[in-house]
Amino acid sequence: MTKQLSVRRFLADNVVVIIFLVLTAAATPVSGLSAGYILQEMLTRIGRNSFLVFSLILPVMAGMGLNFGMVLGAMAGEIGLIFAVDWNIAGVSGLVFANLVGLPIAIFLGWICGEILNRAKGREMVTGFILGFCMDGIYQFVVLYLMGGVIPMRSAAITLSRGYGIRNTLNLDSVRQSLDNLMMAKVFGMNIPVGTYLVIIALCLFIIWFRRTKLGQDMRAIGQDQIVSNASGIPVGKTRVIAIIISTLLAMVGQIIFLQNMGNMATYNAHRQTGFFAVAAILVGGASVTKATIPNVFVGVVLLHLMYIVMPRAGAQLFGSAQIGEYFRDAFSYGAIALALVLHAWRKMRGVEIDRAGLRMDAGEVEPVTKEAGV
Amino acid sequence: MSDPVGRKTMSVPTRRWIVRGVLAVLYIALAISVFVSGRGHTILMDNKSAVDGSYQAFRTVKIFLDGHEPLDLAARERDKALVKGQRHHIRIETGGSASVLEAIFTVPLDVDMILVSIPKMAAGIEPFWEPFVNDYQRPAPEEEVLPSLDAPPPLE
Repeated sequence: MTKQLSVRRFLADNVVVIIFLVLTAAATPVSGLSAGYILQEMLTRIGRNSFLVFSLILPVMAGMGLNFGMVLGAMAGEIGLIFAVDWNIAGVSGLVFANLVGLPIAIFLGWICGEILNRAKGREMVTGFILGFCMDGIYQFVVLYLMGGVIPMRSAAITLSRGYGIRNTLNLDSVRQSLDNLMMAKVFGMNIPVGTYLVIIALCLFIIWFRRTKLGQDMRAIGQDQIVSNASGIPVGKTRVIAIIISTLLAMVGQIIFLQNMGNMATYNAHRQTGFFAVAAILVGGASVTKATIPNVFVGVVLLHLMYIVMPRAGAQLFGSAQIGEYFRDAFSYGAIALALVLHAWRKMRGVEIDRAGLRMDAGEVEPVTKEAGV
Repeated sequence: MSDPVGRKTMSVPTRRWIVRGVLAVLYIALAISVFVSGRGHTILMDNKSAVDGSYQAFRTVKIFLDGHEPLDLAARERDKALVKGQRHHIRIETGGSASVLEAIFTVPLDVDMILVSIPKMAAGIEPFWEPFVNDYQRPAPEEEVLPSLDAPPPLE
């Protein structure tokens, strides 16, 4: 009985991971792609995307759910890159410069985001999602109208022909794959971007260390119960704001790492899907709105990207059109988010019911005792 | 303010402001140093004779710029290299006679591109480089694709 229950519970807890595993396992042989190609793609994509997904861990720890507001950090990173390209700061120095320019912007945006989310307790995810759209409008205004006009830009090559506003697509040649190529190792014919992996490992170590600090413990306590944390003297609002600021900062760095690998930047659109992608990845990795760990990030990035790699080819092989595979992968990615959110709500409701049943049982046990006492 | 022993100590807000100030200064210093050391320049290397005949192009010349791969230039050829920072070392290997075989030059921070004349350098004429302005032609407004919010990028 216990064994049956634990299997059911395991399936219920990992249904999203299992669905993705089954899908990719079925699609991989159909795609006809070689193991070497898939492995190389995976190595590149883990380096490119993991940092962005890591930015979601701290807000989950602080009980704020999945931080869709991370797109604010992505925008800060993009602004940093625009200036690095404009001033032709090349290589890793260009990436450091972009980070330094983006840093105060990300802190400011993270602070605004945190303050707003503190006023929308219990509705953080949808608030963050809409806040992302709101800030996107401000970003468009700054980049499309102020840059080149109010904010001086040196390079005519990156501004629109009218003299102000940044071009649709920015060529990141000066910083292209500079972090990846910093320490590129070749193992069994595979290119491994060791520099990028070292940065990701450093971030993992930071998260492990941070969890043990006073601030990390406070965040975990707030994630468990805000009222109790507040009563025990933890500054709940301030700690939540710090969690969002750190998340926004990490998203900024993650977006810069992502874009340096891509080599070009869709100035007005690059950040729009960032939050969606990162949330999908961490949920596919088995995280929930209340619990996210480092292995969730890696499992999620591997599974989601394995699907991204094999699905279009599998679609092409099965239906003669890669587009169908693309539709599949988009549908499953959105489906993963929806399923994870529904499961979270279901578990929450079930938890409440179990608690209620427990209370009823307690009351039932107390009654006969009282009667006996009355006799 | 004084501690239990009686020594004078700074108040916590004062100390906090000092730490913040130091961090701000470090941040600005780091930004400036990254800006200066990471500033990219394009170096055009030119192997052409002077119009007035004051220096002659080499038939072939091998150019070593900083740690870059060596470049081979024939007469009347030009090639380019992308460099970081302002101070650069150039060395040439040539079959003909040259009075200067290596030199160090500094590119101004605000100059994007310079033209280095190899025969001029070899003849010992200073300055052997000059700023090169690339007159970028912006596309006509009607040819340009304007930003669109309707087409988000594909997932990668």
